[in-house]
This record gives sequence, C-alpha cells and structure tokens, in this order.
Amino acid sequence: MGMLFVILLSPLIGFLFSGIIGKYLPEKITGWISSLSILVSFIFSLQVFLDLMPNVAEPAGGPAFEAIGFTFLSVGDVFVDFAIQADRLTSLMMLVITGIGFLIHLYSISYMHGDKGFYKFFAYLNLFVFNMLVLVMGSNFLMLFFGWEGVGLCSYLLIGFWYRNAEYGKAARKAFIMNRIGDLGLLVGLFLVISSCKSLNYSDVFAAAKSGSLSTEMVTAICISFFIGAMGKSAQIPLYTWLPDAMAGPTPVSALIHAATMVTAGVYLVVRCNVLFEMAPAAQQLILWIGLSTSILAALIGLKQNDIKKVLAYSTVSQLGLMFIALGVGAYSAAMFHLITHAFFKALLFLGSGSVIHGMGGEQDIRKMGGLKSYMPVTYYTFLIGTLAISGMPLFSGFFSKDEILATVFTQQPVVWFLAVVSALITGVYMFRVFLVTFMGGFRGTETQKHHLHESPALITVPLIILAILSLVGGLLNLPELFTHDHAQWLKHWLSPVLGNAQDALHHPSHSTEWMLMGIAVSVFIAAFLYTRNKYISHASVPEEDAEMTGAAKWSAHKFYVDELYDKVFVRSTERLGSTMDKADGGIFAGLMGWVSSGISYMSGLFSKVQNGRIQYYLLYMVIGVILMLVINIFK
Amino acid sequence: MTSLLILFLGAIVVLYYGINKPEGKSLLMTVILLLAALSSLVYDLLTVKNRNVLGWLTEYVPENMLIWNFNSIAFSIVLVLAFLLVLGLFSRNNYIGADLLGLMLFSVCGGMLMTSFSNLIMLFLGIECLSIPLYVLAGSKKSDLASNESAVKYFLMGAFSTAIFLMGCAFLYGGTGSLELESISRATSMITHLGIKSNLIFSGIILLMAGMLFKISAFPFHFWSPDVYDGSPNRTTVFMATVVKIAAFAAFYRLFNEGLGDVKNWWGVTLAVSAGATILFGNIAAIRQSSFKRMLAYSSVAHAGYMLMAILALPQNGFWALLVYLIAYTSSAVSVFYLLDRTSGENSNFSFDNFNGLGKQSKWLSLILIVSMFSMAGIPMTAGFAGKYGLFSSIITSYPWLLYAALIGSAISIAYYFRVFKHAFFSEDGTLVAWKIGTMEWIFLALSLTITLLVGCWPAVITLCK
Repeated sequence: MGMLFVILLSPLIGFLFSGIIGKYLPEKITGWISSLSILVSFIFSLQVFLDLMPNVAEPAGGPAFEAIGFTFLSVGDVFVDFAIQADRLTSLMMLVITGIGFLIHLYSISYMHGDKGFYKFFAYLNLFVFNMLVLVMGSNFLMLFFGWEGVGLCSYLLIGFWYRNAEYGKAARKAFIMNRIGDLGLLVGLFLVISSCKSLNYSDVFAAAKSGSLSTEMVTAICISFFIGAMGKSAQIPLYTWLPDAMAGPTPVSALIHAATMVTAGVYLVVRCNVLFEMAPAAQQLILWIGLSTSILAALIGLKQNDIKKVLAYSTVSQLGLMFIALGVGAYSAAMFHLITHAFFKALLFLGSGSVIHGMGGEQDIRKMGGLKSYMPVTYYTFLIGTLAISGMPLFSGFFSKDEILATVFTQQPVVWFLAVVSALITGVYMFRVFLVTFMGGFRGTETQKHHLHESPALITVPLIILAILSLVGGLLNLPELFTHDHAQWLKHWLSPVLGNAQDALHHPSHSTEWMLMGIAVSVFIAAFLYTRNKYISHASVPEEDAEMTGAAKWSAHKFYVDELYDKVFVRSTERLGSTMDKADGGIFAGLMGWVSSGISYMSGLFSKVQNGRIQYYLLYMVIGVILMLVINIFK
Repeated sequence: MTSLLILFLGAIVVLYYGINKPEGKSLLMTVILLLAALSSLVYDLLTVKNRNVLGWLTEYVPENMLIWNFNSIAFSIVLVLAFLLVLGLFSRNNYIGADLLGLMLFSVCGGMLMTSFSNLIMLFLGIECLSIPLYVLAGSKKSDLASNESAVKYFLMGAFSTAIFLMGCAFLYGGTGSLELESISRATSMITHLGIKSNLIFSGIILLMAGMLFKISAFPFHFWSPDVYDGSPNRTTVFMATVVKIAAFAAFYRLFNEGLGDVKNWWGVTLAVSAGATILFGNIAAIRQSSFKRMLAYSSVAHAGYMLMAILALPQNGFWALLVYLIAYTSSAVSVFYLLDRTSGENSNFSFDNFNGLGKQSKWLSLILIVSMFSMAGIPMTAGFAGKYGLFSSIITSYPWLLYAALIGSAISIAYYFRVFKHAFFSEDGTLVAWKIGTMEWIFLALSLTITLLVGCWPAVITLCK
C-alpha cells in the first residue's frame, strides 16, 4: 500500500526540507511547508480511516492494510521486515498524531516567531511526527522500538531546545535517561519475545500467545517488561519525575509530545499487546495499582503548583494514570477513548497556557496573572472549555471518557473506583484553581505586562478554537448506552477486531447503577467547582507563597519530595563511593548507577585499584586468570 | 591470496621506495596498494562460490595452510577497509613516513593471515606478524615517555600471551596429532561423540582461549589495553582499536566457532563468563574516566565483550552479527578518534574539555560526533544498534544471563557516551581552535558517516552479498 508510505514519509521529507534548507528561507515558508507535510499525512490518514470503515460492500469494514518496505535485518533465521500496517487501532492513533500535530505546527509558526532556531524547531517537530508514526504504524516490535527510541530522542532535543539555559539541558538529559531506563525494560521484553516466539511480528507473536504455546510465566515476564517501558514513556511511578521537568521545552512541544502523543505511547503499547496482557493477570494488577497511585499522587502534587505549565504537566501524569487504571481492568477501548479525548483537551489547555504565556511576555506564575478574561477573550473561552472537559462537566468529552473508565472499574474493584473518584475530584479542584486564578479577579502583574497584554494572533487562536470544538464534542465517539441505542459505543465496536474477546468479557453495570455512578461523577464535579469558586472568587484569595505553607500543602508544593528522595537514595549514595566522578555531572548519571545497585559501585572502586599501571601486577592477573580457568574447568 | 601477495610485496616496495622520497608519495602508493588488494578481495568474494563445490579457493595456497572461503574473505575486506579509513583520516599533519607505513602494511598482512588461516602455525605467524610492527608503532612517538612506556608494556605482555598461546598449540597438537583446523575439529568432535573428556586437549583449548582473549583485550586479560591505548600515538591507538581488533576477532571466531564449535560445551561457559565480565568491567570503568581517550579505551574493552557473544552463537548467526558489529564499531570509532585527535591539537591532554565549543565550530563535525556516539551507545537507526541487536538476539536462548549483563552494560554506557555532548554543545567556554579539514578527510568522514547510517537504517545491506 503506497498510501501508508506517503503518510510515513511526508513528515520525513518535511524534516529534511526544514533541516537542510529551512535555514535560508523566510520563517513563514519553512513553517508552512513543514505544517503542510503533516497535513498531507493527515489527509491520507483520513483516507485510510475511511477505507477501514464498514460500508455496503464490506459490512465488517475493510481489512487492515499492510506494506512491506524491505528486509530490515536478517540475523540468522530471524528476519525482521521494515513493514508498516494500518489497522483500526493504528488509524485512530494516526489521526490523533497527524491531526493534532498539524494544529500544533500551525500554532508554532506564530509561537516560535523570531526564534533563532525557528527552522531547527520545525525540523525536530517533523522528525518527531515521523518517529511517532513509525511507532504506531510498525507491524513488528522492532519498528515499535525504533519509533520508541526516535520519539525519545526528539523529545530530548526539543526539551533542551533552548539549550543556552543549563537547567533546560539538565531537564532534557533527565528525561532521556529516565526514558532509557524504561527502554531497557522494553528491550528485555523484546528479547524475551524473540527467544520465546522466534519472531517479532505482531501477528506471529499474538498467534503464538493465543495458541497457548507460551507459558504464563513467560507472558507475565514479557508484559511486566513492556510495562516498565511504558512507565518510562508514559511517566508512571516511579519514572514520572522527568515529565514535569520536561516543561522546560517550548509550549507547543509540551502540548504535542508531553500531553497528546508521545506520552500515550505506553498506553498504545499495552492496548496493542492486549492479547498478552489478558493472559497475565499479575501484570494487569501491577498496572492497575501503579496507575492508581500515579493518578492520585500526581493530582495531589498538582494542587499546589503555581507554574501554569507544571500544573498541566502533573495533570497529564494523573490522567495517564487513569488510562492505566482502565488498562489494568482490561477496559482497552475505554483507555483509548480517554487517550483521544485527553489528547484534545490537554493539547487545548497547553496551547491555551502557551497563549497566556505569550500574552504575559513569558510569565508562567499564575500568582502574577489574574483577570485575563477581558484581555484575552478567545483564550479565556477555549481554556474554559478545556477546563470543563477535563474536570468532567456533563456532556463534555472528558465526562464521557472518564465515566466509561469509572463504570468499568466499579464493576470489578469498587475500592479502586472510590480512589479514582477522589483523584477526579482533586483534578477538578486544581484545574478550576488554575483557571480561576489566571482568568478571574484583578490583574496582579506589573504595569508593563498589563500594557503588553493582548489577544494572540489568529494562527494561535484558530487551533485553540478547533481543539475546543473537539473537546466539546469528542464524547460522541463513544456515547454510553444510556443515551442512545443505535450509535452507542462506536469506538468500542470500531476497535473490536483489534481487541477480540478481551472486550466482551467485561461486565457492564446495570442501567440504574450507571445512572448512579454518573450522578456521583456530576456531584463530584459540582463540589470541586463550588469549593474552588468559594476559595478563589468569593474570598478572592491568591495561592500563598511557598514559605507560608504548612503541613500537607507544603508536601504537595514540594512534589512530595520525590526528586529529593531519588537524589538522596540513588545519587548521594553513589556519589560518596565515586570519589573521582565528575561532581557537576554526577546528578543523573550517578542516579543511573544507583539502579545498578551498590554491589557494582563497590566493584568499580576495586577496578581503579586493580588498574595500577604496573606490569608485574597485570602479568600476575593474567596468570591467575589462566590458572583459574584451567582449574575450575578441569576439576569441576 | 592475490591480495595478500599484493600487500606483502607492496609493503617491501613502499619501505624502500620511501627512503628518499617525500611522504606524500609513499602514502599515495599505499592507498593504491590497498585499493588493489581490496578489488582483488571483492573479486574473490564474488567468485568464491563458483570456484569449487566447497567454496574453497585452494589454487595458490600451500596445502592446508590458508583457506579463502566466504567468511575469511569477508573478514579480510572489512580489515582492509578499516585500514583505509584509518589512513585516510590520520595521515595529515602527523609524521607518517614510509617506515611507519611499511610497518602498518606488514601488520595488515599479519591480520590477513589471521583471517584466513587454516593451520595453527599460520595463525601463530599471523599474530606475530601483526604484533611485532605494533610494538614499534606503539612507541613511534619517540620523544614521548608515555608512548615508550606503552610500547614496552605492550611488548612484555604480548610476549607473555604468545607463550601461553603457543603452549595451547602444543597441548592441542599433543592431544589431536595435528595443527590443522579441520583435523582438530574432526578429532575433537569425535572425542565428544565418544563421550571422553581429554584433559590434554581441553587445557590446550583453554590456553588458546587465553591467548586470544589477550589479543582482543577481554577480562581478565585486558589490563594492558587501557594503558597501551592511552599511551600510544592516536594513529596507533585507532589502528589497534579497529584493524587489530578485526583481525583478532576474525581469528577468534574462525578458531573457536568454526574449528572448535562442536566442543562448545567445554569452553562456552568460560567464554561467556569472560564476555559478561568484560562488558560490565569496561562499561563501569569507563564512567569514571576524565580523559576522553581513556574512556574510549575502556569502551573498546566493553565492545570486545559484546563481540565475544558472536563466538558463542550458532555459526551463521554469529558470523553475520560479528561482521555487522565490526563494521559498525570501526566506522564510528575512526570518526571519534579523529575528532579526539584534532580537538586535542598538539598537546597530549585528552580530557573531555577539549570538546568544549565543538558545536559552535562546525555543524557537520557535531553531526559526526552525535551519530558516532549514538552508534557506539547502540541507539536505533545507527549501525551500532543493528550490531547489538544481532549479537544479543544470537545468544538469547543459550546464554540469557549474558544478555542481561549486556543490556545493563549498554544502559550504563549511555552515561559516558553522552557526557561529551555536554562539553560539545552546552559549554560556554569554548577554547577549541578550528582546524583545516582537507578534502581527503571530508571524503573519509563522509564515508564512515554513510556506513554508520546506512547499516543502521538498513542492516540487511551487509547480507546482500550472500
């Protein structure tokens, strides 16, 4: 299928174009051409999507498309093809990536205006879209891994985009290394798959799993390894701390990579491997509880952050946790539903915050904002829609997708359901807090900022409006059965060929229970709104300075000291051992060393003693080595 | 065989031709010689299947001494290519007289004997012919104490390991009555079929292994390599890290995987333990180095550990994986050593700080640094990943624990490979002086970059000639 290659290669061409000659062209041309390269991919993705639709000729919908480029690797008897595919799951991801990607490209033309690295930014952004497409379109695990590493690399480049600032460089490296730890898990899983299935193709692996030729232990090991990979990429406990730091990158990057697409790669991986995860209940339990704790912890931290992007970052971590809760109970289509609606409203919120930061001349602290409603009406209304969607205002997209997850969880694990509702309540509180403090009340910034305040240009507001509409109506994708009979659960039916039996096994609550659950969700939403309204509008209070905080609030504001904990446990303990290690550099790298445990640190101390430069010793080691090899082997 | 003759006779001619001639001329002559040898090798490779049924080219070869089959020719091609890259990148601004060129050519002749031996005598001759010029090359920076020290160190330890290796040959001869690879292979596999364990043969194998492990600098025989790599002139270091390593690995592979493959259960675990220890040792020790050159020396130890996996793998899997990895490692190592050589200028301080401000100096050199480092660290889309993937997947069923050691090792390696980026791109105090890059150097840099990316994006290209 040539169309698939067009979809894949168009962003790559855009990358080469902006990277090589973009420098010599005016900003507008570079920006528009690389945006158009994404638009081309989007249009073709739409075509693929329509081809997969059920129609009169094929009531079950078109078959999945596949295209094989060339034999990529042929080590021994294992052949791996450079092959791409588009089934129903992939086509959804493709639409999200290219659709939102295109809007964010448009937005960036205005947002990055005047930046020295304008062409570089677009080159990286196109490269990112290319890699993300490789990740979702690959038809074997190696292609997925390629995309996986590729998006990690682009994320590294884009977080450190303003690399003159040393802090940003550090954040970029932290993200890269944390991701590498996760990737190690994915890689282990990959090799487990090779050793047990002798193939990396999805179809072969899933067929092998279905035929029962894999032992439960092996499947569990593979699933847990994959989930470790997902933890890194999708920022779950304990590998989540990089994502908030990643906000150092330009805001469109945060919207595209760290909210809508890349961070959902972990969710995609689990959904793709649903056959395997269904066979490994232990791994599912792990996912469920990790997702739940991440969701609550991140929401709690989000409560007291004052940097507008940091709040959204923690909110992303928390929402990803919610998706993993869904995956943990086997509600794959619900997770995908939330992934899509989350992509809409989180991209909207990030872009809105970018618009605010743009208008405020680079200010990110919400305490210095306030009353922006009258200055930036479009941003205000779109941000309002995003806030309502994420907090679960009835009939907004977030309401449906969250409800779907909560209803499924309720039938399986009521305790988890209760905790997830608490997390949803906190989400409502911190989102309204950000919204009200930023847009309501009086302006608290400086006079120059006030003078400078303006609504953003059309290239920024148009993507905002489109995303706002999507956040409003996104729920139509998968309406619950309560509301309509004919078109209910469209997404679930759409994904049924990919998910197979996994979905049918799920119990749905009775209608009366579902009404009750929905009622609880609505009251949670109202409670969150009333609480924050009372606090920030009626009493017009402004979030306090860090120093004034006490007790739990202080813990939340300091992100529960997790960074400090990692620093203490992994970094300090290894630094003490590594006397010659470069101190300034030690931070993260020493942290990495910590993972390899103190036993190896002890050895590395020994190594430098052994390598003393004296030839007599070296010869002695050799002799000992030979004798040991002989003695152990002969007398064993 | 033709290629070996071309190089050997050519080396003598270059040595005497260059006595009174300017350096450039002998260099040009060497390059022409190499190209001639290369084309003869490629011709051999393409026709190897047609020559006779077994694919063995025996026409010029003394009976049972050398063998020119597909594997040995492929290794020889990589060997000559690597030498070409080294010459292309390390010939300007350094003294490279006809004497040094001649020595290097002799060394490469030894390397070709090692890739194509079929008799242990030839292997031994090859090792000596490779090593003796190296001892001189290591000390070729005559005024530098470190260079002299490394030459003496290398010589003493090399002599020691040669003795061990010869002892192994003697034991094996005593046990099997032959020095031919084929007879040894037959004898050992017969003995295993009968279920006997001969300690004489077995000790011979272990001693041979120790000798080879020394050559490729694997644990616990690697101690010489960081010191010698560090002290030798850069050109010699990169020669040792690429050309010598290719020859040694080809010989190791042919001796153990092809010759002694049937008795793998005798030596497999020992070698796997050594490989795992080499990987962990190399990577962990590299983290602490403040000298970029020493870091590369340790990383080269670690790479040797990965490549040992190929010797443990099944014959065909191991061969292709090793070939891809050798190409990947060579193409990135020459570029990195080149950058190291040029950023350090005239002094012999090779700290990471030399790279400060490289990002501002040149876009293309930054690209080369990034791609080479990525390849060494095994990031996808570079040759290093393809090589690691091939090696790792070839041993996964037989030695899973070695795989985990290797995965941990390669995760650690990210830390020190990426450290140089901080200096090259994030450092403000750039003291780096721009240097003039000749056309020749650009060509070879581009060549190595192309190889790294091409093999990375399409590793199957290597197996096309199959």
